[in-house]
Amino acid sequence: MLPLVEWLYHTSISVAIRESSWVFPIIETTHVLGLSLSVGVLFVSDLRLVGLALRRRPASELWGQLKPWMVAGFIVMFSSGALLFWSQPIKAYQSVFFRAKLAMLLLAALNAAVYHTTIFRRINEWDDAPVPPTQARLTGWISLALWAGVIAAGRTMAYTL
Amino acid sequence: MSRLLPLFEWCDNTRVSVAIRDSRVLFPVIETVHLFALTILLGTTIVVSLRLMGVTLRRQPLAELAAELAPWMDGSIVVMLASGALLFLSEALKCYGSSAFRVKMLLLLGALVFHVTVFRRVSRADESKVGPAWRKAAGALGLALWFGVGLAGRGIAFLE
Amino acid sequence: MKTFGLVRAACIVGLLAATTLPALAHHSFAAEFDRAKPVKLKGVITRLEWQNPHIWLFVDVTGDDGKVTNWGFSGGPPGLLTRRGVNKETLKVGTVVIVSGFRAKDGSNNASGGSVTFEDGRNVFTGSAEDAVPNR
Repeated sequence: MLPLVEWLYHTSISVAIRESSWVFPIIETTHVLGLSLSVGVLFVSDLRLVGLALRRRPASELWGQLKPWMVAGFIVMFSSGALLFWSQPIKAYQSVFFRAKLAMLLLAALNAAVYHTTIFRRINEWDDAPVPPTQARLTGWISLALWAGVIAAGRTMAYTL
Repeated sequence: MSRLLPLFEWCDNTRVSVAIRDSRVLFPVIETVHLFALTILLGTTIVVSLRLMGVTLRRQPLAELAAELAPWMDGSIVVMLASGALLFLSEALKCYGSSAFRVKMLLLLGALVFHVTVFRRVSRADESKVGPAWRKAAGALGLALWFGVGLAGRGIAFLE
Repeated sequence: MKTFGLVRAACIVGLLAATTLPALAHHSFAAEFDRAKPVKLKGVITRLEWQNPHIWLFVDVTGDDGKVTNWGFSGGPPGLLTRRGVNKETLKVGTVVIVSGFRAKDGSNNASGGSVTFEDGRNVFTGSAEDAVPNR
């Protein structure tokens, strides 16, 4: 992996972003504020899943309505994140915090995949329940924990650059 | 602005300021909490603002949606203010020198005033009693103010 | 349902194991600097990392015992420095400089950048806006 990462470091795009006056700050700002459109909106959906808020709203409606915004948010996060990685690939690759962040991102995706292929398929059964079934609530709590971890790992990684 | 320098100097030297500066973990932990609360505040603001602007969740009553998310919006504002105050105390003089910080504080004042006045009134009112133009303006203004605060905050690291 | 649970558990264990791979962190938390530990060192610039999110200036400092230590000084982002009139050419390898800053909390040979003075008396400030503590 390291040779690939070193190759990335020497590409002209990597150098350009890394040494830029405005481009890097704009990409990084987009990444930080983009958290709100992705994780922030997901937070609202997760609140419903764990039964802590919006209990009178049908869970499926909340999900259906907010999903396109979340998707847009995550596209922004992955694009800006990829560019940030491209600009400092070696430091990111070698950072234990970055690796932890990626691991938690993968686990969050896994958590979502398991949810969507199981209990979500039966959402009509518990759509109006103020407190969803245990598996749905577990999904919500795992999601909240993992995304908090992703944010913390990303922030901590920045301290080591 | 230079008349405020003594105040900033006082803030820079409180026991709390020194304690945070002396610790290796306090500042990073407080800043991470600030980031968590920012995500929740801006996330809930996006959802309620989009509803105000009639863009999403149109079948859900606005007043109920706003009321149900209010504890989370208000709670995250409190956490932002508390964590922000601590971060400020630990580097008050550095903030004094930052023009981005000053802009952030002005926008924050605007956002807070907006939140307890226009926003509360428009989002909790019966939808039939408030014209849609007011709701759309409130939605847009809320997004502009709170994201403005966030943008200015980021500017502290990159601008003089 | 049971299979999914097992798959989930296995992946969690596997990924957690992967993240404990040792990483080469050149500076761990060196971004944390101690205002109570000011440093002022004279030496020769050996390397300049003109990079976002903030630059790093490396200086070979010769101690009284003749031993040479390499110090790293972090600074502001390239954009900020450029707008201030400081660029890559200002901090060329081989230049003799006196650098002032605050030492890293972890005690390593790293410090926050600040004032850089050249042999001809010129002085530039390489810190971020946050590093500029106003003088009364």
